Amino acid sequence: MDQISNNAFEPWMLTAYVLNDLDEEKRCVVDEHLKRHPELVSEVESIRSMVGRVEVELARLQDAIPIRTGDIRASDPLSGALVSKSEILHEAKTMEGYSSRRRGRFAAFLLTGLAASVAAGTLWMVRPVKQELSEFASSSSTEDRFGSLQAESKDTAGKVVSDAFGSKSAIEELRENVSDGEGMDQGLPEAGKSLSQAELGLPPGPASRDLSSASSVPGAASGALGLGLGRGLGESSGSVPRRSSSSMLGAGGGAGLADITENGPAIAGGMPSSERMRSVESKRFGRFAQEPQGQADSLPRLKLRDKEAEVAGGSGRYFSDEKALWDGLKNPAEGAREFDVPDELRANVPSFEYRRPYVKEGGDRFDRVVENGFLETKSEPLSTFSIDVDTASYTKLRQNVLEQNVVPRSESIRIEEWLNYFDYQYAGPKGDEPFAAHLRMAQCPWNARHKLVRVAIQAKRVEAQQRPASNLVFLIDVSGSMADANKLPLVKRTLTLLANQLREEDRVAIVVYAGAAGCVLPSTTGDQRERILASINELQSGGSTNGGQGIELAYRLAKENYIEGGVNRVILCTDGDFNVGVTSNDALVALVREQAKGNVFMTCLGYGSGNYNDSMMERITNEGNGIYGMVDSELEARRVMGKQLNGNLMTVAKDVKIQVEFNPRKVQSYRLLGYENRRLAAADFNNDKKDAGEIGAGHCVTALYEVVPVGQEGSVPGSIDGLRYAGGSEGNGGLKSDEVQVAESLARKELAEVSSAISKEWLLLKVRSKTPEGSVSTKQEFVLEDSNEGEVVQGEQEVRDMQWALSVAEFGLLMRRSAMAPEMDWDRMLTRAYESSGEDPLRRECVIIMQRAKSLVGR
Amino acid sequence: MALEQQPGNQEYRQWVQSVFDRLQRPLVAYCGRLLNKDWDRAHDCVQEAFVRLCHTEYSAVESYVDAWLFKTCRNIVMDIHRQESRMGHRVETEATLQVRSRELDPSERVSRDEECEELEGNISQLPPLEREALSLRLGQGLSYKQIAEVMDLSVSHVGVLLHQALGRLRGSMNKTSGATN
Repeated sequence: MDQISNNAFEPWMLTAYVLNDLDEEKRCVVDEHLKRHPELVSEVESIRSMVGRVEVELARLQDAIPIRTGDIRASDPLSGALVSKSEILHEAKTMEGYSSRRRGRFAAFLLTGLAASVAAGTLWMVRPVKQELSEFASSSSTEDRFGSLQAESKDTAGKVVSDAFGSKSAIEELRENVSDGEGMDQGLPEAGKSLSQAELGLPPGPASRDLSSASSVPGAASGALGLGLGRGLGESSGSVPRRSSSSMLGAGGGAGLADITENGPAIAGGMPSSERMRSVESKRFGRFAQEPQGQADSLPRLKLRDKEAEVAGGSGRYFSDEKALWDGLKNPAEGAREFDVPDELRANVPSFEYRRPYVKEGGDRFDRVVENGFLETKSEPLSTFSIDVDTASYTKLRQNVLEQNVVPRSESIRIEEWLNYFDYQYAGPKGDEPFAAHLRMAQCPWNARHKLVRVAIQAKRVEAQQRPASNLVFLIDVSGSMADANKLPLVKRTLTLLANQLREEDRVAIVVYAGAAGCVLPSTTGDQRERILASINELQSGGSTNGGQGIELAYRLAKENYIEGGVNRVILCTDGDFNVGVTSNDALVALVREQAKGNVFMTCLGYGSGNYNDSMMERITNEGNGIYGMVDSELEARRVMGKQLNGNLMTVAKDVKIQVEFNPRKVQSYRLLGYENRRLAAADFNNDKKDAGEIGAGHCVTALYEVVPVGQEGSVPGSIDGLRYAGGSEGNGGLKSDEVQVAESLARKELAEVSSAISKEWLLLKVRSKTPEGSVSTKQEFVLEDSNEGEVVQGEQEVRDMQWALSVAEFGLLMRRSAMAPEMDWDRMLTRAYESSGEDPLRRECVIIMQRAKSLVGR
Repeated sequence: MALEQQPGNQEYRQWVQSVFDRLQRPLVAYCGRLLNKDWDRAHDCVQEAFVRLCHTEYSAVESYVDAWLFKTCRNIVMDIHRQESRMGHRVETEATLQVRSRELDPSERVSRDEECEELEGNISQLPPLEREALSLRLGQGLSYKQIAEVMDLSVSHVGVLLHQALGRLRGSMNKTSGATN
């Protein structure tokens, strides 16, 4: 019975299906349903496209939100809120039972700035005050206070002003106590009481809040009070004197209270009380100093924006007074900042800077990937993309599946990088051609009615001895986060592997960056191996990350030691948290792009995980004509620095673009698997200004097209019916002018004449590339004809390579839960992968990953 | 993993900080949408939510902190609504959360030429619950289950809301694109 109710199809599941939020069972239900009701497929597609648009739109809206960053430190949730939870006000009951040990420890934290004697004194005084306080405070819960706070902020200014004047004397008294510091423990409870009486006209919330803030002053040193107190402690000395001195509570009252929320918490650091007041105020105004609009900022909270001029005019004097005060305190504000958190607590607290990329869980950041859809050959016969031999996505997969036992997030899956991770035995080019291309066709494993076209491009191989002299500058992130075993130690290992392969004519330099950038090893020739190895061994991690400076220094060194006709490359080794410091991300990318024009290229090697900024790294390498790989193990280090060293260092062609023209006679529609972020506009193919990927010696690139042969209508999930009114023949009927129609019919006629030859061809592959130093591209063309189809069965190795590529692609689709592959199947894929893996250890490992991933996905 | 919630505890601080860094913007976006784009207040709510987070036992929230924070923000926003209506203030915020009002003042819908702004308009015209679910799923990236926790609904109810929301959006987009052609 359960089964039946569980397995019933409901319309909402379609959306959940698109959003990838169904468990395996329900997903199967939907799959089944879709098979039975093919008309829903188009609906799925329509939902999918809507989802994409809404996502983009929401992300855009979200990015447009003004986020407070200026006072993030001040409103740091930690400083204020880290008061132990038993100290929260409405838990007054537990307050006395609170262990003095813990309080003591907390006091120690807050007291760093305060003289020990004062600390000891005040600590003892706190208790009675707190008891009394809890009576007041317990009357209003946190929510109430918060709510009334908001409510109060809506109060008319006039009312607050009059109240403020009424309570002025009490506040005056309080201020004396506050500035007195020492004697306040006796005076305060009373002051607090009178204050609350004076403010009776106000809602109870703020009053009790004020009271709590006021009363907390003696407790400030111990900071032992919860929410209201911890927050209010500085504020009481900050806002109260301000009111009495300037009497501008009308505007400041509500805002001041609201500001407690923001500024209070940060002011937990204890200081001698006279000092405290100043720093509190300066803190407060430090915020204003940062935001020129700060004052106006606090006004709308009172819904006074429309009256702003009036208020400013009416109490202009006070405003200017305040301003003068702020200006005077502007400088101390810089210093006061440091009081927030003791230094030892600040170290390694990541600096706040919101980064755009999409984050769901974990610290790694990836850009969104939207799967390529099918394109109609008739409307878009050209498919253009830039090649890519990066492999980081595969390494990430391995790390996720084998080490962390999690399924990689679908946006981290780039199928083309998985395909290109493996070696294939493609024949190299003959003569001087930079590439050989191999086009093959096979049955599509995940849709019986479709075919797959494999486009393989093999760059010419260069023997290690023929590698031109290399000028390498390593740019190494030695920030604190690199200390993990799989980061800096692995970087050292990578460098050692490389150093052992250097020749006399090669040069290597090492630049490190953390808080500051520095050159560890000036450019040194490859024969001084001991010296190089010694500097590698001395690398140590520590400090924060400032990539901007380091990158400039690295490029300068590379330029200074530029080898004409050789390999000139900056190799960045980092865990990716590239908070740039001196320059913005865009400026950094611009720098990398600029340098790439000067033939200094960039390679990025990513290490570790957890804090990994994939999108930034990919962007840098794409712009910098570079290669982007991840190193997660010594095995991988050997791969990058050993077998693939030539390819990684020596570029045989740059700005390599591929354009495939499909023949509409044979191909109804097609889609490219992977390369989602590498697609180019058709017109860019012949535009030499347009940057594209580069390819190293011996590299091969594999791309797969899923092709729908003519006569297979409706086999594409999400395809739409033929258009009834889009014109009986091919054009758009009446919409076109006669001339166009005539021209088209002529073209058709011509086409018919050559059709006998052309109708055998599936597609035309064009490869455009430049020599590493060149600026003009050359074009190579390859055709896939019917006869090639028969060549599918060739050598054993070739069959294996093809089968392997199919398996990897299907694996990627399975992991992405692609909706485009209705017949994909784990078991068949695994069998095929196993059979085609051969003796290759990398493929063997991949089969293990596949098996593990299957059980992870099924779970 | 038991982390001691002491101010001096690096690990705990870092955890809170990382959660804050990660979720501040999504949370502000979420609250702001519920508060009629009053970003200032939205910030206050988020701040308050983080304060509450620090006053809650780490082990109790660690495993589902995302949903917890969204839920807490939602509660705070609802408290504000309640408070304001009690205080006799006009409840300005469009989302009177539990009320399903389908029609919005047409004048509020500023017609702008670009299509994406069209979409923005359409999103803001969705019924509040649908809009909230949509924004949580596609804007803030919560899963169905998390949304169900945040909004106190069943997972399938969330599914229905999202399905309807997207259906509505598709409908209105088709209508407009049909009209322009």
